[in-house]
Amino acid sequence: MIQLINVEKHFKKPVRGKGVWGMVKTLFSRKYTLVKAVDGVSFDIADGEAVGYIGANGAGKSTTIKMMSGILTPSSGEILIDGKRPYKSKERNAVLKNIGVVFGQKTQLWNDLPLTETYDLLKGIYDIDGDEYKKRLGDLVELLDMKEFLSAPVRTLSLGQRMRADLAAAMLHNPKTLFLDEPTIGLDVLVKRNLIAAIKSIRAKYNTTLLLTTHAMSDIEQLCDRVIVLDKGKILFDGTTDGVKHMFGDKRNITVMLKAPATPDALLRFGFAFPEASDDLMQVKFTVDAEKQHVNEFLQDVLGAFRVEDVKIVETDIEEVVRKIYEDGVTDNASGDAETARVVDNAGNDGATVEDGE
Amino acid sequence: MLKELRLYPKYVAMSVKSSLSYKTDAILQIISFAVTEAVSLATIYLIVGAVPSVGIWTFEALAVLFGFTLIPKAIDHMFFDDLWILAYWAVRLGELDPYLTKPINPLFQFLAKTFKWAGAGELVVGVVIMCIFAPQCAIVWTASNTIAIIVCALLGMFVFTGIKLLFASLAFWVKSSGVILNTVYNFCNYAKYPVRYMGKAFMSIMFYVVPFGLFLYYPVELLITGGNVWWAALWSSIAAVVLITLGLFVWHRGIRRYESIGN
Ligand SMILES: Nc1ncnc2c1ncn2[C@@H]1O[C@H](COP(=O)(O)OP(=O)(O)O)[C@@H](O)[C@H]1O
Ligand SMILES: [Mg+2]
Repeated sequence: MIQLINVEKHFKKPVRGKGVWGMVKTLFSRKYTLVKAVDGVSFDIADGEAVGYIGANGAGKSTTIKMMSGILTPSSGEILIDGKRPYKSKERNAVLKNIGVVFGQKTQLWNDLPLTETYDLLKGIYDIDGDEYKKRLGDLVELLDMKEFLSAPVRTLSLGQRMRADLAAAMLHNPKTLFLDEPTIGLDVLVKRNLIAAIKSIRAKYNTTLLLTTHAMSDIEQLCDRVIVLDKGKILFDGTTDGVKHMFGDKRNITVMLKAPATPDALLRFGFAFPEASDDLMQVKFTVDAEKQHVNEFLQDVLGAFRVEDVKIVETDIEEVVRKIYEDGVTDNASGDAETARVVDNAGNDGATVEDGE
Repeated sequence: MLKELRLYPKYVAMSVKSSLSYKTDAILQIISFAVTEAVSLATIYLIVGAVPSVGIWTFEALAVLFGFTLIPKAIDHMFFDDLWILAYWAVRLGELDPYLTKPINPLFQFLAKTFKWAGAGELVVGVVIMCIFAPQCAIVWTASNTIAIIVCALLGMFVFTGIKLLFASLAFWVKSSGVILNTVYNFCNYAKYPVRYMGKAFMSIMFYVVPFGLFLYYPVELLITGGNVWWAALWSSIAAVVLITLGLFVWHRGIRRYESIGN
């Protein structure tokens, strides 16, 4: 059981002057601006729950996880993990024994040594019993498909391999709770999909409580039953994943590349999907609400009405969801608008390319 | 604490293995430190050749002093070099994060992970110089003063480490305390010379403010003048206890202020 009770974390940033004189003044001044990175956050997470913690860049997600994992001390409020506070020197060891953390941007592995060396050290740090360790490592190596790079120096691993290795390192001591801060950052679509699948099977096997931050809505959809949306240090929404999807309308952005220019007639027929054609009419973007419209049926109709070369479907990005919640309030059911183009252009989205059957 | 002690050999083995993946680098480090120290000893030789020796401080005696000062410094260098990283960047760049999420002392993890070959080079030079020049001085070697000087060398390592920990931990307040640490640390270079002849004021500073005179110079002075080296061992142990305690106190205070890094 994890409890956050009105947690705040403030950072002092020195006020910087301009120019050389300003810099000198900065050195001696005691003026600060206060950054309220986390500003009164409360939530509970029950054992075995999987929670997506989302929000725009700088919302305070990492800061929250750092406070929950012993790195930072809250400015005020309280964090209790099974009744103990990770930032109190007397209680930290008891808490840390039962949690695993992965920060996607940083590794905890020994760079110049084979993975097995890091794992062996972790065995000592967490007092893992010999047989238990062997079994667990074996299971994780299999689940995360790590056999081939187990004895290579860490610095030679690809990002995807390193992320899997870090995940295994965080799971080795059978933690009750796992914190993952952007574990899929920088991974390409296929690698990411495999990692998410692996996390899913790990959770199925060990029933680990999960708190996950990510930028991809699809990660959340596949892993989490519950979503907490953070904005500027405050909770904007806390509810089921389905609830978020419903609120946002589960939009898909479908771009079709054509062999012949689209006719105005055909475009009019699909007016309900907000078509946006390129100038030469060789490419059309639709926005479909997957809750109201079967995507596959829609695609069939499109294939029938146009001479299609290629189709691209892009799912929603977290930033989009947050913006939506923010603009429309929490109850309003969003309607599609002119944001289509921006979504498609967003790099790093889960873009599925579907070949047309013609 | 017990777990830390049990894991320490494992850490050292891993850091040695890590550094061996850059073998030439390790060898170059050893050689470069050995050469640097040899050159500074040669400098002392030239200076001593030019001026008549001061009392008991013949060149041989100075060489013994020189060799001795290297030993505690070298051992500290081998095992606790990352305190420099704490002072210069670790706080500013948020590099302490991974050590804070594990159920074992974060300071221990941070320090145990690095082994420096350069320190080993320095240690070898120190020991060799002592072995060459000590027999040429009028030192009466007994079991007692032999053990005492070894004890002084080991205690000296803890004083070095304590001083480094104390000033490096200031980084939690000022983000980067490397310059402060460096200034204090460099006073150890004066202890290679007979501190007692450098004027009353300076001597007092070297004994009681930055105690390099006390734990580096004083043991050798006693050894050469035939005094009781255990007095130096006593003072060194007091300095070690005081500085390590202070250092740990400031570290513990500081780590609570640690802010990691934003993006
Ligand atoms: N160590 C720090 N020092 C100063 N400001 C910080 C620090 N860590 C985070 N911040 C600030 O706090 C806010 C929240 O950061 P963070 O928790 O990293 O956001 P997120 O993970 O949601 O992107 C940002 O404005 C960031 O600049
Ligand atoms: Mg973050």
